[in-house]
Amino acid sequence: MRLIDRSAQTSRWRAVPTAEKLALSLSALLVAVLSASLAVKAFILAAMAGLALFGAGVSPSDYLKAFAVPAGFILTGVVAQCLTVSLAGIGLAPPAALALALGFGLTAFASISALLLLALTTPLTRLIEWLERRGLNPHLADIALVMFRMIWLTLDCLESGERALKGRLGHSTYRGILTSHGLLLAALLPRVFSRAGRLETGLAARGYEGRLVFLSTERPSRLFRLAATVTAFAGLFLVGRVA
Amino acid sequence: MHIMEGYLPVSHALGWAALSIPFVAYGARKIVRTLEEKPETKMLLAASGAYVFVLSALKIPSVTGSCSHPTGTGLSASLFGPSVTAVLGTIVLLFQALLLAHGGLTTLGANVFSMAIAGPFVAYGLYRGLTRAGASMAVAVFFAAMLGDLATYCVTALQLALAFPDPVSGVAGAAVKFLAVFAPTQAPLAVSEGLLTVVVMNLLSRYSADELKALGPVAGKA
Repeated sequence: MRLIDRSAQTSRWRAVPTAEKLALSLSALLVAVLSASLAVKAFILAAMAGLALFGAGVSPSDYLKAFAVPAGFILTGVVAQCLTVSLAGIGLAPPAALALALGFGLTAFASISALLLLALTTPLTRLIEWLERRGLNPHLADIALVMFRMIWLTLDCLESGERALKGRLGHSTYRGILTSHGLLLAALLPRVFSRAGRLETGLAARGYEGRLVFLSTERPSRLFRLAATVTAFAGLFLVGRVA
Repeated sequence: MHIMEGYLPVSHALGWAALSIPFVAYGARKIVRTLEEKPETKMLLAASGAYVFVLSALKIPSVTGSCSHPTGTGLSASLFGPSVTAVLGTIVLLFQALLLAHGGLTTLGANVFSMAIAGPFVAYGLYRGLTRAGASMAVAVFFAAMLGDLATYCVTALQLALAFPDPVSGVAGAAVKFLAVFAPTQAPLAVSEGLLTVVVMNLLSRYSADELKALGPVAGKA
């Protein structure tokens, strides 16, 4: 769970304005989903992976680990699409359906590579700040930002509790695992609420009036870069239509 | 059970997003109104969201021997109510897409509908219905969590079947196919999640009455 956040915080592209990274990833994502050309999808898959590995300096092992889980789900879905079910039983789908399934598989892989380029180079807090600047309700943005910060503390509590229960043989049977997890989750809720209470008290002492203000070190985005990115992907989409 | 990034055709992705928006907007309005009246509940809501997110980090054993992550829909709907769960679930699903690469941005609407709306509403409805019918809390929580989880899984299979109908047997055949592919992990997991939710709710009602009381203004009615 920490892998993508660690990569985003240490990426060479961390300081690149969020809007520029969003323009790149979302344009690639849209073209991957909208284009009918398999060559365009394959190009996006390779280009986004190349930018993440060689441009942003994401480590190959981190990239592969992040890719592994969605790849497993996509392959399971593609296998289901390659089979056909009828009253006669299960069989292989007709060639046209197989080609369609592989096309959707490639679209999903290209889309995942576009999503990972964004996720592995942009800390989530930057994205929430960007959304708030674009009109997300400030209360909801505050909840998301505090939630993001609390996740890591809660995760630490969960992991240390899990280690302790495992060390006391709480994971030796199926029934034991369920009881241990139940104890852990029930113990976690009061701890999380107590942390929220302490945070609330601390904020009240500092004059909290309902809005949280976070410092941002975000650089302004450059319009020509945004325009160039969108134009390049629009061009790629048109090339895919013509070819 | 997330649908991965880019896996749905554009029209389906947009359609599921359009269906989800009213539920999330209603929940968001309710949260904003609560926060304007009681700003101190903001931290409680953020803590609740973090709790829901971290639930998915826990691996629970399935009765078939494999391991998987709980969806947390039953527990979340019982603690926070379905409309608040719709908003917290949307934030959690966005976080899961960007922190774990589970789900995605184009499939966010479809995933929100199955995991943050259909599952929690089924779970909450069952919980209320069963307790009103006189069932014990343990029985109500078990069936709410288990069937809420199964509802999430069935809706996801239906979403995939509508997007990719079987060339021979159409949407119905595709639904059977997707239900069958994911059943070996999802059906036993639902039973495990039901049992786990009963243990958690039993312990919380026995030892954490204050915390459950504090959730009153957050959860409201529905």
